[in-house]
Amino acid sequence: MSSYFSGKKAGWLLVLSICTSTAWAHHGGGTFDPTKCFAFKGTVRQVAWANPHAWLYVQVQKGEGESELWGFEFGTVGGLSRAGFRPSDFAIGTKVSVTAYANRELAKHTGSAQRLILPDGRDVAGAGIAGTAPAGAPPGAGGPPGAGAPPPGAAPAPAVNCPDYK
Amino acid sequence: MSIRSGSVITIAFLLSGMAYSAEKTGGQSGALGSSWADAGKMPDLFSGMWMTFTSMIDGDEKVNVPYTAKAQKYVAAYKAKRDIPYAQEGCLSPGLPIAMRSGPIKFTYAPGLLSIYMQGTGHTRFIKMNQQQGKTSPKYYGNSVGHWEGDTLVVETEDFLSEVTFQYGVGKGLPEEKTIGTGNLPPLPFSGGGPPGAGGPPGGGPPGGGPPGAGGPPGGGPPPGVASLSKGIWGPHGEGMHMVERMRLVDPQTMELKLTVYDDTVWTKPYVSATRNFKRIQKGISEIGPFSGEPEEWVCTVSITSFDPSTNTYKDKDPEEMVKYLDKLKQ
Repeated sequence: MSSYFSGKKAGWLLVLSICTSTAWAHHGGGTFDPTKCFAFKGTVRQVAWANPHAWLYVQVQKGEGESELWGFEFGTVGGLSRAGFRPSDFAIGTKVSVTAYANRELAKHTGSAQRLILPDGRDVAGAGIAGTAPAGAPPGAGGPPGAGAPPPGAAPAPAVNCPDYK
Repeated sequence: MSIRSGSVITIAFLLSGMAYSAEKTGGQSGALGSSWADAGKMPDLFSGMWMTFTSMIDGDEKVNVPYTAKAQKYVAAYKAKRDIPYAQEGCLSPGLPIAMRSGPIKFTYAPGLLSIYMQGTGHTRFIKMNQQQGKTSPKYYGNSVGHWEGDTLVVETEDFLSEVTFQYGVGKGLPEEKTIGTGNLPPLPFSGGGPPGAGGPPGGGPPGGGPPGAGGPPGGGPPPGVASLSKGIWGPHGEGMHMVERMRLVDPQTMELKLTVYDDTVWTKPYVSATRNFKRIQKGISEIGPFSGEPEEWVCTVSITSFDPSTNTYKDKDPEEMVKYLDKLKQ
Protein backbone atom coordinates (compact mmCIF):
# COMPACT_ATOMS: atom_id res chain seq x y z
CA MET A 1 0.00 0.00 0.00
CA SER A 2 1.36 3.38 -0.91
CA SER A 3 1.67 6.06 1.67
CA TYR A 4 -0.67 8.96 1.15
CA PHE A 5 0.74 10.60 4.18
CA SER A 6 3.59 12.54 2.79
CA GLY A 7 4.81 16.01 2.03
CA LYS A 8 2.43 18.84 1.47
CA LYS A 9 -0.68 16.74 1.81
CA ALA A 10 0.39 15.44 5.19
CA GLY A 11 0.81 18.98 6.40
CA TRP A 12 -2.65 19.95 5.24
CA LEU A 13 -4.21 16.93 6.84
CA LEU A 14 -2.62 17.79 10.13
CA VAL A 15 -3.63 21.39 9.89
CA LEU A 16 -7.15 20.37 9.04
CA SER A 17 -7.27 18.00 11.94
CA ILE A 18 -6.20 20.79 14.25
CA CYS A 19 -8.55 23.32 12.81
CA THR A 20 -11.72 21.29 12.46
CA SER A 21 -13.16 23.12 15.40
CA THR A 22 -11.89 25.44 18.00
CA ALA A 23 -13.96 24.63 21.01
CA TRP A 24 -11.92 21.57 21.72
CA ALA A 25 -11.73 20.54 25.28
CA HIS A 26 -8.10 20.24 24.39
CA HIS A 27 -6.01 21.04 21.36
CA GLY A 28 -3.01 18.79 21.71
CA GLY A 29 -2.88 15.09 22.36
CA GLY A 30 -3.75 15.66 25.95
CA THR A 31 -3.52 12.51 27.96
CA PHE A 32 -3.03 9.90 25.25
CA ASP A 33 0.13 7.90 24.73
CA PRO A 34 1.21 7.38 21.11
CA THR A 35 3.08 4.22 22.07
CA LYS A 36 0.08 2.44 23.61
CA CYS A 37 -2.24 1.43 20.81
CA PHE A 38 -4.70 -1.43 21.31
CA ALA A 39 -7.67 -3.00 19.55
CA PHE A 40 -10.58 -3.11 22.00
CA LYS A 41 -13.65 -5.30 21.47
CA GLY A 42 -16.84 -5.00 23.44
CA THR A 43 -20.39 -3.70 23.64
CA VAL A 44 -21.62 -0.13 23.76
CA ARG A 45 -22.67 1.08 27.21
CA GLN A 46 -23.36 4.69 26.25
CA VAL A 47 -22.54 7.36 23.68
CA ALA A 48 -22.01 11.04 24.33
CA TRP A 49 -23.04 12.51 20.98
CA ALA A 50 -21.62 15.86 21.94
CA ASN A 51 -19.21 18.63 21.10
CA PRO A 52 -16.39 19.40 21.50
CA HIS A 53 -15.79 15.64 21.30
CA ALA A 54 -18.06 12.64 21.00
CA TRP A 55 -17.24 9.77 23.34
CA LEU A 56 -18.18 6.12 23.10
CA TYR A 57 -18.31 4.07 26.29
CA VAL A 58 -17.66 0.39 25.74
CA GLN A 59 -17.65 -2.59 28.08
CA VAL A 60 -14.43 -4.09 26.84
CA GLN A 61 -13.60 -7.80 26.97
CA LYS A 62 -10.46 -8.58 28.88
CA GLY A 63 -9.29 -12.13 29.16
CA GLU A 64 -11.62 -14.98 29.99
CA GLY A 65 -14.97 -13.68 31.17
CA GLU A 66 -13.61 -10.38 32.42
CA SER A 67 -14.49 -6.93 31.21
CA GLU A 68 -13.73 -3.26 31.86
CA LEU A 69 -15.54 -0.04 31.02
CA TRP A 70 -13.54 2.18 28.68
CA GLY A 71 -14.27 5.60 27.22
CA PHE A 72 -13.05 6.45 23.72
CA GLU A 73 -12.76 9.96 22.39
CA PHE A 74 -13.80 10.66 18.81
CA GLY A 75 -13.96 13.82 16.71
CA THR A 76 -16.71 16.38 16.63
CA VAL A 77 -20.38 15.65 16.08
CA GLY A 78 -20.10 17.32 12.67
CA GLY A 79 -17.14 15.15 11.77
CA LEU A 80 -18.87 11.94 12.78
CA SER A 81 -21.94 13.01 10.83
CA ARG A 82 -19.86 13.67 7.74
CA ALA A 83 -18.35 10.23 8.18
CA GLY A 84 -21.88 8.86 7.97
CA PHE A 85 -22.68 8.15 11.61
CA ARG A 86 -25.79 8.87 13.64
CA PRO A 87 -26.28 8.48 17.39
CA SER A 88 -28.53 5.50 16.70
CA ASP A 89 -25.51 3.62 15.31
CA PHE A 90 -24.30 3.33 18.88
CA ALA A 91 -27.32 1.80 20.59
CA ILE A 92 -26.59 0.23 23.96
CA GLY A 93 -25.45 -3.35 23.45
CA THR A 94 -24.05 -2.80 19.96
CA LYS A 95 -20.89 -4.84 19.41
CA VAL A 96 -17.98 -2.64 18.34
CA SER A 97 -14.27 -2.81 17.80
CA VAL A 98 -12.30 0.32 18.62
CA THR A 99 -8.61 0.77 17.97
CA ALA A 100 -7.33 3.49 20.24
CA TYR A 101 -4.32 5.05 21.87
CA ALA A 102 -4.70 4.60 25.59
CA ASN A 103 -4.34 7.15 28.32
CA ARG A 104 -0.83 7.52 29.68
CA GLU A 105 -2.33 6.23 32.89
CA LEU A 106 -3.79 2.96 31.69
CA ALA A 107 -6.01 2.67 34.76
CA LYS A 108 -7.96 5.72 33.60
CA HIS A 109 -9.54 3.51 30.92
CA THR A 110 -9.78 6.24 28.32
CA GLY A 111 -8.41 6.30 24.81
CA SER A 112 -8.20 8.34 21.64
CA ALA A 113 -10.11 6.41 18.97
CA GLN A 114 -8.34 5.81 15.67
CA ARG A 115 -10.48 3.15 14.07
CA LEU A 116 -14.04 1.99 14.53
CA ILE A 117 -15.69 -1.18 13.22
CA LEU A 118 -19.45 -1.66 13.50
CA PRO A 119 -21.39 -4.92 13.11
CA ASP A 120 -22.80 -3.79 9.75
CA GLY A 121 -19.29 -3.77 8.31
CA ARG A 122 -18.57 -0.08 8.47
CA ASP A 123 -14.87 0.31 9.11
CA VAL A 124 -13.60 3.85 9.51
CA ALA A 125 -10.15 4.92 10.58
CA GLY A 126 -7.85 7.86 11.11
CA ALA A 127 -9.01 11.28 10.11
CA GLY A 128 -12.39 9.85 9.06
CA ILE A 129 -13.48 9.41 12.62
CA ALA A 130 -11.77 12.57 13.73
CA GLY A 131 -13.96 14.45 11.33
CA THR A 132 -11.21 15.64 9.10
CA ALA A 133 -12.51 14.23 5.85
CA PRO A 134 -15.96 14.44 4.33
CA ALA A 135 -18.14 11.41 3.83
CA GLY A 136 -17.40 9.71 0.56
CA ALA A 137 -14.35 11.80 -0.03
CA PRO A 138 -11.99 10.45 -2.60
CA PRO A 139 -8.34 9.97 -1.83
CA GLY A 140 -6.73 13.37 -1.65
CA ALA A 141 -9.84 15.09 -0.37
CA GLY A 142 -8.22 15.57 2.98
CA GLY A 143 -5.82 18.06 1.49
CA PRO A 144 -6.27 21.24 -0.45
CA PRO A 145 -7.66 21.20 -3.94
CA GLY A 146 -5.06 19.86 -6.24
CA ALA A 147 -3.21 18.00 -3.54
CA GLY A 148 -4.25 14.85 -5.31
CA ALA A 149 -2.78 11.42 -5.06
CA PRO A 150 0.51 10.56 -3.42
CA PRO A 151 3.64 11.17 -5.39
CA PRO A 152 4.78 8.25 -7.50
CA GLY A 153 7.12 6.00 -5.66
CA ALA A 154 6.05 7.19 -2.23
CA ALA A 155 7.42 4.98 0.50
CA PRO A 156 5.04 2.33 1.83
CA ALA A 157 3.45 3.21 5.12
CA PRO A 158 4.95 1.30 8.00
CA ALA A 159 2.64 -1.20 9.61
CA VAL A 160 0.99 -0.09 12.81
CA ASN A 161 0.93 -2.79 15.39
CA CYS A 162 -2.09 -2.41 17.62
CA PRO A 163 -2.50 -5.69 19.45
CA ASP A 164 -5.74 -6.85 21.00
CA TYR A 165 -6.29 -5.47 24.46
CA LYS A 166 -6.03 -8.32 26.95
CA MET B 1 -28.04 81.95 29.13
CA SER B 2 -31.49 81.45 27.72
CA ILE B 3 -33.00 78.03 27.29
CA ARG B 4 -32.88 78.54 23.53
CA SER B 5 -29.21 79.42 23.36
CA GLY B 6 -28.45 76.51 25.69
CA SER B 7 -30.25 74.17 23.32
CA VAL B 8 -28.27 75.48 20.39
CA ILE B 9 -25.04 74.87 22.23
CA THR B 10 -26.20 71.41 23.23
CA ILE B 11 -27.16 70.53 19.66
CA ALA B 12 -23.85 71.90 18.35
CA PHE B 13 -22.00 69.83 20.94
CA LEU B 14 -23.90 66.69 19.99
CA LEU B 15 -23.28 67.31 16.29
CA SER B 16 -19.57 67.84 16.91
CA GLY B 17 -19.51 64.60 18.90
CA MET B 18 -21.22 62.76 16.07
CA ALA B 19 -18.81 64.23 13.57
CA TYR B 20 -15.87 63.18 15.74
CA SER B 21 -17.27 59.71 16.08
CA ALA B 22 -17.96 59.45 12.37
CA GLU B 23 -14.42 60.55 11.66
CA LYS B 24 -13.03 58.16 14.24
CA THR B 25 -14.89 55.22 12.79
CA GLY B 26 -14.66 56.46 9.25
CA GLY B 27 -18.39 56.04 9.18
CA GLN B 28 -21.10 58.25 7.89
CA SER B 29 -24.68 57.77 7.01
CA GLY B 30 -24.92 56.52 3.45
CA ALA B 31 -21.39 55.16 3.32
CA LEU B 32 -20.81 51.76 1.76
CA GLY B 33 -22.46 49.13 3.91
CA SER B 34 -25.52 51.16 4.84
CA SER B 35 -28.19 50.06 2.35
CA TRP B 36 -29.47 47.03 0.49
CA ALA B 37 -28.15 48.55 -2.71
CA ASP B 38 -24.65 48.36 -1.18
CA ALA B 39 -24.87 44.57 -0.98
CA GLY B 40 -23.65 44.19 -4.52
CA LYS B 41 -21.08 46.98 -4.31
CA MET B 42 -18.96 45.65 -1.47
CA PRO B 43 -16.01 43.33 -2.09
CA ASP B 44 -17.32 39.77 -1.96
CA LEU B 45 -16.58 38.57 1.54
CA PHE B 46 -19.93 36.81 1.56
CA SER B 47 -19.77 33.86 -0.84
CA GLY B 48 -18.83 30.67 0.93
CA MET B 49 -16.79 30.74 4.11
CA TRP B 50 -13.22 31.67 5.04
CA MET B 51 -10.64 29.85 7.06
CA THR B 52 -7.08 30.43 8.16
CA PHE B 53 -4.94 27.32 8.30
CA THR B 54 -2.16 28.55 10.52
CA SER B 55 -1.99 28.10 14.27
CA MET B 56 -4.67 29.68 16.42
CA ILE B 57 -1.97 31.64 18.23
CA ASP B 58 0.89 33.88 17.22
CA GLY B 59 3.93 31.62 17.31
CA ASP B 60 6.76 33.73 15.96
CA GLU B 61 8.75 35.78 18.46
CA LYS B 62 9.17 38.49 15.82
CA VAL B 63 5.71 39.80 16.72
CA ASN B 64 6.74 40.61 20.28
CA VAL B 65 6.70 44.26 21.32
CA PRO B 66 8.11 45.82 24.50
CA TYR B 67 6.13 45.16 27.65
CA THR B 68 5.24 47.69 30.31
CA ALA B 69 7.08 47.27 33.60
CA LYS B 70 4.04 45.57 35.12
CA ALA B 71 3.63 43.19 32.19
CA GLN B 72 7.37 42.49 32.08
CA LYS B 73 7.21 41.34 35.69
CA TYR B 74 4.23 39.13 34.83
CA VAL B 75 5.97 37.62 31.79
CA ALA B 76 9.20 37.00 33.73
CA ALA B 77 7.25 34.90 36.23
CA TYR B 78 5.06 33.24 33.59
CA LYS B 79 5.11 29.45 33.30
CA ALA B 80 4.33 28.08 29.85
CA LYS B 81 0.99 26.30 29.45
CA ARG B 82 0.60 23.05 27.57
CA ASP B 83 -2.55 24.31 25.89
CA ILE B 84 -4.57 27.43 25.25
CA PRO B 85 -6.01 28.30 28.65
CA TYR B 86 -9.61 28.52 27.48
CA ALA B 87 -9.72 24.79 26.73
CA GLN B 88 -11.28 24.25 30.10
CA GLU B 89 -14.39 22.77 31.58
CA GLY B 90 -17.54 24.49 30.39
CA CYS B 91 -17.01 25.15 26.69
CA LEU B 92 -15.95 28.76 27.19
CA SER B 93 -15.25 30.89 24.15
CA PRO B 94 -11.72 32.27 23.80
CA GLY B 95 -13.17 35.54 22.52
CA LEU B 96 -11.30 37.57 19.92
CA PRO B 97 -9.07 37.16 18.05
CA ILE B 98 -8.76 33.37 18.54
CA ALA B 99 -12.39 32.62 17.71
CA MET B 100 -11.75 33.99 14.21
CA ARG B 101 -8.84 31.60 13.70
CA SER B 102 -10.19 28.26 14.74
CA GLY B 103 -12.75 27.20 12.19
CA PRO B 104 -14.54 28.44 9.11
CA ILE B 105 -16.10 31.89 9.37
CA LYS B 106 -19.11 33.18 7.44
CA PHE B 107 -19.88 36.82 6.61
CA THR B 108 -23.46 37.97 6.20
CA TYR B 109 -24.85 41.44 5.59
CA ALA B 110 -27.87 43.58 6.28
CA PRO B 111 -27.92 47.36 5.88
CA GLY B 112 -25.72 48.81 8.58
CA LEU B 113 -24.68 45.43 9.95
CA LEU B 114 -22.02 42.89 9.07
CA SER B 115 -22.16 39.61 10.97
CA ILE B 116 -19.48 36.95 11.19
CA TYR B 117 -20.49 33.43 12.24
CA MET B 118 -17.44 31.79 13.79
CA GLN B 119 -18.15 28.11 13.49
CA GLY B 120 -15.38 27.07 15.84
CA THR B 121 -17.30 28.55 18.73
CA GLY B 122 -20.78 28.47 17.22
CA HIS B 123 -21.05 32.19 17.96
CA THR B 124 -21.70 35.23 15.78
CA ARG B 125 -20.05 38.61 16.15
CA PHE B 126 -21.81 41.75 15.01
CA ILE B 127 -20.22 44.78 13.36
CA LYS B 128 -22.24 47.99 13.15
CA MET B 129 -21.38 49.65 9.87
CA ASN B 130 -20.85 53.37 9.55
CA GLN B 131 -22.21 54.00 13.01
CA GLN B 132 -21.05 55.34 16.31
CA GLN B 133 -19.89 52.93 18.94
CA GLY B 134 -22.35 54.35 21.44
CA LYS B 135 -22.66 53.02 24.95
CA THR B 136 -21.13 49.59 25.35
CA SER B 137 -20.87 46.82 27.89
CA PRO B 138 -18.07 44.26 28.08
CA LYS B 139 -18.46 41.19 25.88
CA TYR B 140 -16.43 38.15 24.76
CA TYR B 141 -16.28 39.59 21.26
CA GLY B 142 -16.23 43.20 22.37
CA ASN B 143 -18.27 45.86 20.59
CA SER B 144 -17.46 46.40 16.95
CA VAL B 145 -17.97 49.21 14.47
CA GLY B 146 -16.79 49.03 10.90
CA HIS B 147 -16.43 50.93 7.69
CA TRP B 148 -14.87 50.52 4.29
CA GLU B 149 -11.67 52.30 3.33
CA GLY B 150 -11.55 51.59 -0.38
CA ASP B 151 -11.33 47.82 -0.71
CA THR B 152 -10.50 47.29 2.96
CA LEU B 153 -13.02 46.54 5.70
CA VAL B 154 -11.81 48.26 8.87
CA VAL B 155 -13.29 47.00 12.13
CA GLU B 156 -12.61 48.63 15.48
CA THR B 157 -13.55 46.63 18.55
CA GLU B 158 -13.46 47.63 22.21
CA ASP B 159 -14.84 46.81 25.64
CA PHE B 160 -13.96 43.15 26.09
CA LEU B 161 -14.79 40.92 29.03
CA SER B 162 -11.86 40.17 31.30
CA GLU B 163 -12.33 36.44 30.55
CA VAL B 164 -11.11 36.78 26.95
CA THR B 165 -8.07 34.58 26.31
CA PHE B 166 -5.46 37.24 25.71
CA GLN B 167 -2.02 36.70 24.20
CA TYR B 168 0.79 38.96 25.42
CA GLY B 169 3.36 37.54 23.06
CA VAL B 170 5.42 34.54 22.10
CA GLY B 171 7.66 32.73 24.57
CA LYS B 172 10.00 29.77 24.36
CA GLY B 173 7.32 27.16 24.96
CA LEU B 174 7.69 23.71 26.39
CA PRO B 175 9.59 20.72 25.07
CA GLU B 176 7.68 18.79 22.47
CA GLU B 177 5.16 16.37 23.94
CA LYS B 178 4.74 12.91 22.53
CA THR B 179 0.99 12.86 22.64
CA ILE B 180 -1.75 11.86 20.31
CA GLY B 181 -5.40 12.66 20.01
CA THR B 182 -8.03 14.16 17.83
CA GLY B 183 -6.17 17.46 17.90
CA ASN B 184 -3.09 15.98 16.27
CA LEU B 185 -4.36 12.81 14.74
CA PRO B 186 -2.47 11.22 11.90
CA PRO B 187 -4.45 8.95 9.64
CA LEU B 188 -3.61 5.34 10.22
CA PRO B 189 -3.25 2.60 7.65
CA PHE B 190 -5.83 -0.08 7.96
CA SER B 191 -7.18 -2.95 5.94
CA GLY B 192 -9.71 -0.87 4.07
CA GLY B 193 -7.35 1.95 3.20
CA GLY B 194 -5.65 2.63 -0.06
CA PRO B 195 -6.30 4.08 -3.43
CA PRO B 196 -9.52 3.65 -5.37
CA GLY B 197 -9.99 0.05 -6.21
CA ALA B 198 -8.20 -1.00 -3.10
CA GLY B 199 -11.17 -0.15 -0.95
CA GLY B 200 -11.17 3.38 0.39
CA PRO B 201 -12.48 3.86 3.88
CA PRO B 202 -16.29 3.70 3.97
CA GLY B 203 -16.62 6.89 5.95
CA GLY B 204 -14.38 8.80 3.65
CA GLY B 205 -11.31 9.10 5.79
CA PRO B 206 -8.04 9.60 4.03
CA PRO B 207 -6.70 6.32 2.83
CA GLY B 208 -3.45 4.76 3.81
CA GLY B 209 -0.57 6.55 5.29
CA GLY B 210 0.33 6.53 8.89
CA PRO B 211 2.73 7.37 11.59
CA PRO B 212 6.07 5.76 11.89
CA GLY B 213 6.84 2.95 14.20
CA ALA B 214 4.40 2.30 16.97
CA GLY B 215 2.21 5.23 16.10
CA GLY B 216 4.09 8.40 16.85
CA PRO B 217 3.10 11.39 14.77
CA PRO B 218 4.93 11.76 11.47
CA GLY B 219 8.39 13.05 12.02
CA GLY B 220 8.26 11.87 15.57
CA GLY B 221 6.39 14.82 16.98
CA PRO B 222 3.16 16.73 16.86
CA PRO B 223 2.60 19.13 13.99
CA PRO B 224 3.85 22.68 14.38
CA GLY B 225 0.40 24.03 15.14
CA VAL B 226 0.09 21.84 18.19
CA ALA B 227 3.67 22.08 19.33
CA SER B 228 3.56 25.86 19.22
CA LEU B 229 0.57 26.25 21.53
CA SER B 230 2.79 26.30 24.60
CA LYS B 231 4.65 29.29 23.14
CA GLY B 232 1.70 31.55 23.83
CA ILE B 233 2.05 33.88 26.79
CA TRP B 234 -1.41 34.51 28.21
CA GLY B 235 -2.49 37.09 30.71
CA PRO B 236 -5.05 39.65 31.80
CA HIS B 237 -5.78 42.61 29.57
CA GLY B 238 -6.53 46.16 30.56
CA GLU B 239 -10.05 47.55 30.48
CA GLY B 240 -9.14 49.80 27.59
CA MET B 241 -7.80 46.98 25.41
CA HIS B 242 -9.08 47.40 21.89
CA MET B 243 -8.20 46.14 18.46
CA VAL B 244 -8.39 47.12 14.82
CA GLU B 245 -8.79 44.54 12.07
CA ARG B 246 -8.21 45.38 8.44
CA MET B 247 -9.60 42.80 6.01
CA ARG B 248 -9.31 42.82 2.23
CA LEU B 249 -9.33 40.44 -0.69
CA VAL B 250 -5.87 39.96 -2.14
CA ASP B 251 -7.40 37.70 -4.78
CA PRO B 252 -10.87 36.17 -5.16
CA GLN B 253 -9.89 33.15 -3.05
CA THR B 254 -7.78 34.87 -0.40
CA MET B 255 -8.70 37.34 2.32
CA GLU B 256 -5.90 39.03 4.23
CA LEU B 257 -6.44 40.06 7.84
CA LYS B 258 -4.13 42.51 9.58
CA LEU B 259 -4.70 42.87 13.31
CA THR B 260 -3.38 45.52 15.65
CA VAL B 261 -4.11 45.30 19.38
CA TYR B 262 -3.81 48.25 21.73
CA ASP B 263 -3.35 47.88 25.48
CA ASP B 264 -1.08 50.33 27.25
CA THR B 265 -1.22 48.30 30.44
CA VAL B 266 0.61 45.48 28.63
CA TRP B 267 2.66 47.01 25.82
CA THR B 268 4.50 50.26 25.34
CA LYS B 269 3.43 50.29 21.70
CA PRO B 270 0.69 48.59 19.67
CA TYR B 271 0.93 44.85 19.15
CA VAL B 272 0.80 43.94 15.48
CA SER B 273 -0.20 40.32 15.00
CA ALA B 274 1.20 38.25 12.16
CA THR B 275 -0.80 38.94 8.98
CA ARG B 276 -3.08 36.01 8.22
CA ASN B 277 -4.49 34.79 4.96
CA PHE B 278 -7.92 33.17 4.97
CA LYS B 279 -8.84 30.85 2.10
CA ARG B 280 -12.31 30.95 0.60
CA ILE B 281 -14.21 27.69 0.94
CA GLN B 282 -17.16 27.46 -1.41
CA LYS B 283 -19.40 24.53 -2.16
CA GLY B 284 -18.60 22.93 -5.48
CA ILE B 285 -15.91 25.49 -6.22
CA SER B 286 -13.23 25.50 -3.56
CA GLU B 287 -14.08 22.92 -0.91
CA ILE B 288 -11.19 22.14 1.41
CA GLY B 289 -10.98 18.86 3.26
CA PRO B 290 -14.08 18.42 5.39
CA PHE B 291 -15.25 21.97 4.80
CA SER B 292 -17.90 22.48 2.15
CA GLY B 293 -18.35 26.21 2.60
CA GLU B 294 -21.79 25.79 4.13
CA PRO B 295 -22.03 26.79 7.77
CA GLU B 296 -22.73 24.07 10.30
CA GLU B 297 -24.18 24.17 13.78
CA TRP B 298 -21.70 23.99 16.62
CA VAL B 299 -23.14 23.50 20.09
CA CYS B 300 -20.66 22.62 22.80
CA THR B 301 -22.38 20.64 25.52
CA VAL B 302 -20.02 18.69 27.71
CA SER B 303 -16.26 18.78 28.21
CA ILE B 304 -15.26 15.20 28.92
CA THR B 305 -11.59 16.02 28.59
CA SER B 306 -10.58 19.42 29.86
CA PHE B 307 -7.40 21.36 30.44
CA ASP B 308 -6.66 22.96 33.78
CA PRO B 309 -4.25 25.85 33.24
CA SER B 310 -3.64 26.23 36.97
CA THR B 311 -2.10 22.76 37.21
CA ASN B 312 -1.13 22.50 33.52
CA THR B 313 -2.82 19.11 33.32
CA TYR B 314 -5.56 17.44 31.33
CA LYS B 315 -8.35 15.52 32.94
CA ASP B 316 -10.68 12.92 31.46
CA LYS B 317 -13.96 12.36 33.23
CA ASP B 318 -14.19 8.89 34.72
CA PRO B 319 -16.02 6.50 32.35
CA GLU B 320 -18.17 5.04 35.15
CA GLU B 321 -19.32 8.52 36.17
CA MET B 322 -20.01 9.50 32.56
CA VAL B 323 -22.10 6.40 31.88
CA LYS B 324 -24.17 7.11 35.00
CA TYR B 325 -24.59 10.72 33.88
CA LEU B 326 -25.60 9.74 30.35
CA ASP B 327 -27.97 7.00 31.58
CA LYS B 328 -29.74 9.58 33.71
CA LEU B 329 -29.75 12.19 30.95
CA LYS B 330 -31.40 9.79 28.49
CA GLN B 331 -34.05 8.36 30.80
